[in-house]
Amino acid sequence: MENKKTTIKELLKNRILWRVYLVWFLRKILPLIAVQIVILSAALKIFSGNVFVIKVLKNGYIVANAGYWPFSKFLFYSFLGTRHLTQAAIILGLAVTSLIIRDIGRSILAYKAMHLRSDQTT
Amino acid sequence: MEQNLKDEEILRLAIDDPSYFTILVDKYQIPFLRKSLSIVRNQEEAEDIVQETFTKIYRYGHLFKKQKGVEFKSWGYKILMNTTFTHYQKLKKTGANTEYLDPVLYEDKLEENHDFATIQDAKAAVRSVIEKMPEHLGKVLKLYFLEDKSYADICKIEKISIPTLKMRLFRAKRLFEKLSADSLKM
Repeated sequence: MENKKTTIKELLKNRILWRVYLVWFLRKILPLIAVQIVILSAALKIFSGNVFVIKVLKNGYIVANAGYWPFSKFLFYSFLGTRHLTQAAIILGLAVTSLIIRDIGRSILAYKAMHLRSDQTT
Repeated sequence: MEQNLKDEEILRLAIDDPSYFTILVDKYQIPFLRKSLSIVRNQEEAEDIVQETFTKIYRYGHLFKKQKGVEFKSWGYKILMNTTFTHYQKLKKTGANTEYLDPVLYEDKLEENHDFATIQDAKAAVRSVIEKMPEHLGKVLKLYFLEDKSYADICKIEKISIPTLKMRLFRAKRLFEKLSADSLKM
């Protein structure tokens, strides 16, 4: 009987916490990710409009066979060789991608923390 | 350390880190469930109500401001009661089995369920009992229950603090019950 009561309590608690997590995600994370995706799309559009991506990949593949250092140099000089707008788009794209990864990480950590705390308090 | 935090502080922390909300759920889940169960008398309905209540508490948590005499607990219970009655009204509309409403609370909802004449009769009966009470107790009861004034308004009128008002209302309600019972015996 006591076990059944505990199970019901746990089930209800999990349902509540899941709803709370959804509210938090929709309010705190989703708007951020949505804005970041819009910015990233704009950056990618600028990037694809100014860079012949297939050609860069082909050249990159050839240089990559020579090792990490020549490949890094290739990336750096390719970056320097592009127009300022493209450089800005690349930097913006990388920054926004890291923010998206951070926010996804935050969501996962918050979910885990919620259950960890829930287990501790039970 | 978390054990020493006040409910309001936990709620504030939970807005940025939802894991803190677990503490509030653990603390209030059972009392909330018991309260809503005493009204709807159906386990599943009561669970839905409690779930909705906690979601509302979290959603509107940023609007909760700590005021003197107003605690998280009373705010939480107010949300619970509102959610329960909204739920109860919905159940009534859909024709579900809702005849198990707690008699005490049923009296609270008297005005919503009875016609104007009945309400006036009830108010007249209440007034007659209030007249028998000491003035300071009768007045707060009248302002709160018959004139639907808020705590803040009554405090302003009576020039007293919220805790004093609560205490006065508590004493007034007890005396009211006693006087009502006496008048029924007569």
